[in-house]
Amino acid sequence: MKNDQRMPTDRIVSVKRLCKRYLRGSVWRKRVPVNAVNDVEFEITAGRTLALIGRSGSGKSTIARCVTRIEKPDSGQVWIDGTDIASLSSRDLLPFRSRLQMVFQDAELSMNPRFSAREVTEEPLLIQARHAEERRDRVAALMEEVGLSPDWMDRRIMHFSGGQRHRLALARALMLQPKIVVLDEALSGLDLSTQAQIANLLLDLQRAHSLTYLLISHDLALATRLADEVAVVSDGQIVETGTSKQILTQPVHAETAKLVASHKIKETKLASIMSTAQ
Amino acid sequence: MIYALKGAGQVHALDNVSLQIDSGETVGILGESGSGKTTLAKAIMRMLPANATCSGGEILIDNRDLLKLPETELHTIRGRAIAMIPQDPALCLNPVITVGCQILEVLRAHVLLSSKARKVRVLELLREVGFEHPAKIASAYPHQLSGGQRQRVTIAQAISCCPSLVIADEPTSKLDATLEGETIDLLSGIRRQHRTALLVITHDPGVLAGWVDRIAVMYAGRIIEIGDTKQVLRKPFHPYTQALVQLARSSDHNKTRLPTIKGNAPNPTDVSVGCRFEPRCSEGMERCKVAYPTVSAPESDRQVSCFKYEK
Repeated sequence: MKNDQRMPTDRIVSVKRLCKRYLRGSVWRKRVPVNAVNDVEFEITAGRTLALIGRSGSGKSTIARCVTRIEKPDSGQVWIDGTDIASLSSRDLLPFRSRLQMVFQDAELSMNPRFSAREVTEEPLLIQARHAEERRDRVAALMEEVGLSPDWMDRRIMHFSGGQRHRLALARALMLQPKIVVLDEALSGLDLSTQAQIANLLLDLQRAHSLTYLLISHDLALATRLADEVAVVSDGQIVETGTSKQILTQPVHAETAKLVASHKIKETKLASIMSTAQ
Repeated sequence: MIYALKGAGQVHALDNVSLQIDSGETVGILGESGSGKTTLAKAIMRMLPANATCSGGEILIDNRDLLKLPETELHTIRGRAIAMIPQDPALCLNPVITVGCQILEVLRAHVLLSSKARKVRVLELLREVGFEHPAKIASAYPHQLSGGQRQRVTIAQAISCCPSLVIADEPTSKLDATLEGETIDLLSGIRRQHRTALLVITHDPGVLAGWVDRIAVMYAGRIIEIGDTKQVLRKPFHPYTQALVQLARSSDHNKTRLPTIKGNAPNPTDVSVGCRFEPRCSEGMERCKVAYPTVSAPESDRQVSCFKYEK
């Protein structure tokens, strides 16, 4: 696969030999290079979901940031829809930005609380210089789609609850009709019931728009539930890939086994308590 | 030990909350965000913001009413009788002071010890929370530690004066699954060794299963169900608890829709006379809309606020 020059057509995302190094240290101390991402390769089929799971600090977010080109990778290729965007200049990147959107970890913090819902969600359209009327229609349509009433579009962000802001963040990401959405811990920090509601919304949106998701998470239960394929990241490398079921039932790598074990402990604790009476 | 009854300002953040924690007991508070769990914790610590007022009730700790204590005497309670483990340790540790000094500070304020003995105690505490090289950790700054290590430092800080009650506010929500298990093991170990009472606040029933003695479920500022952990999780009575337990239990790994509780948590500024869960309840009755159910006890050691169980 490594020698394959052209990208197969059904793979909408194909990452090859991705590396990213940071320098740790300051002016006064010796700078130590840290390999945040080391020789990472993965592919996602159009309309499917790949989950990157791993502990905090394993490098999963850096991978996401390189794929969306928020960070420039040191080396490697990031094929999106037939083009390698890893080394494109920011001007050449512009047309790709709309195809590839990212939803950030803290939906609350990624929005100006004094902006109205409309101002927040229409910003991508403003950059693309669309007409006011079109923008308004699009905002209304998308708010409806993510389960918010379009009547609320002039409410300020600070008046929306955490779950509602997550819905707005999704609406904003979908504004330019992307093909690929990168979800960086987009579901952590939410209540169980809100988390389930947003997860369902993600599944509905994926079906309606045939979206491709790259899901970054440390929550094994949720990741295995939403994803078709799971890749386990440890120390900047992908140590294991497989379907959700394979990862949960036959973990091969020690890191995967550790993640699965801590997930299972919690699950069996709950199950053993609850099953007896039911 | 503790008994609280409170209403804050225009918004009734807490309404008629009664909770008793025996010494050495662990109680879990379960509820969605906005249900008033953190307000309850802050009320117990008397750390509510200036715009909050207590319209009634009492908070008793070792038979002293905290609400009647003057501000100047509160330092004998905070950090000493009651300690809190914060939700986000990164925000609660001072970034420019070594963590050893920050634990030392607590000891200096509350415990009569020589400066030498204090230092020894800090190392002891750090070892107790699972650090193999306490001296190394003590001289580190918060940013040099990982999230899990920082969490353990705040736990060491909380137990430094052997408080009779430790409040842990969402102790694991910022941690990944492996660290979550380790933190729970650590807390349950400390509880056993020091015989401190523990109040664990969370939105995830999975965090409480297996080690917490009793669970109180909160919804819209009220405790709607309280009972033994096993009983509550096995056989929840209140429709809200039933839905919540259902959510936590679903462990399907196919790509299917997840079960949810329909609707959203109520807006605290809406004042309704009926049961606050009624709009989302699948078993709502006419009377739920016009009156709030009183507390009934369908089983011994069990309290539920729902008309279904009223006679």
